[in-house]
Amino acid sequence: MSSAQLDSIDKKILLALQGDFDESPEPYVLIAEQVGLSESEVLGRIRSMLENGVIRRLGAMIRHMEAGIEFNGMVVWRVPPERIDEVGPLLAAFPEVTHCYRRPRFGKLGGTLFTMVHSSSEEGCLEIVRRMSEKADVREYEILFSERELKKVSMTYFNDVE
Amino acid sequence: MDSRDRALLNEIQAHFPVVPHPYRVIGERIGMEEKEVLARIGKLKRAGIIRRIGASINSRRVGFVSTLLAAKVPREKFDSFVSTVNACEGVTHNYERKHEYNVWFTLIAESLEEKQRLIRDLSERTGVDIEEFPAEKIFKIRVDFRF
Repeated sequence: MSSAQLDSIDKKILLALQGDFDESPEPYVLIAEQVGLSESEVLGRIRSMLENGVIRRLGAMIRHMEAGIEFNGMVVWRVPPERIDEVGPLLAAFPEVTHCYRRPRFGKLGGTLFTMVHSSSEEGCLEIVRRMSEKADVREYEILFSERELKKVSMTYFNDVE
Repeated sequence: MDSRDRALLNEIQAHFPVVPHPYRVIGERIGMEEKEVLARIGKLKRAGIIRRIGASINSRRVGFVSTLLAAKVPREKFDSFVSTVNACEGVTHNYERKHEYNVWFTLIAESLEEKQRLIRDLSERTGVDIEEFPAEKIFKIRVDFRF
């Protein structure tokens, strides 16, 4: 995926959006003041950056550990190379799956498809993984359960923009 | 959390309205006044459930590289390994996992060279081998949760 063209105003808007909206009912007004544009120009630029994929998601970031979704399992699936493109979307279709990637071979099974599964319990994760296994007809997998969250932050981009 | 909190959480994690009064629009979608939306968001933030409201940026689209790293960290080195790794600004997620490879973390860097340099540096400073599992193909990233 190539990089998008961004000017210094876009970068300033992105920097502002990496923080937290305050409790104002009109959150874009403050950003407009910070970057020296009208509110409608700021809204237009944000919409463009959503459309071209620079902004992946706009909304609330949740601490899922605090919200009762305390367990995640990283599941590494051993999938024959010729089935990767068929199996990837099948596993990705589960709502409990937040990430699904092909990665280099890992573990004793030599798995290559990695999915992240979230649930309120380990049993819940296991149940979802069983359904995924059946749906995709992939029987060899390994689950790496989370023991502890050691760090979770959002990356800061463009904090040096003039 | 009551059912109205859950309805609100389901609504505000993605497709946050890009309009002058976004909370009013969210309220219209779930049958809540703008004031109640704002009050409940404030409460969920104070409870630590909402970390922030804003944008998640696609690192690749802004020219950065990201990767997944794993290490088999011996007990006696665990705490120092975690504090060294967590101090690195580009490390955004880090989990201890129940596996021989017991520490898994993500790293975002400005360039491939910078990424390699950071990994080498972390490995040298901690005396722990770090293995890389970069994404080769993305089938899904959708970090919003149903409540």
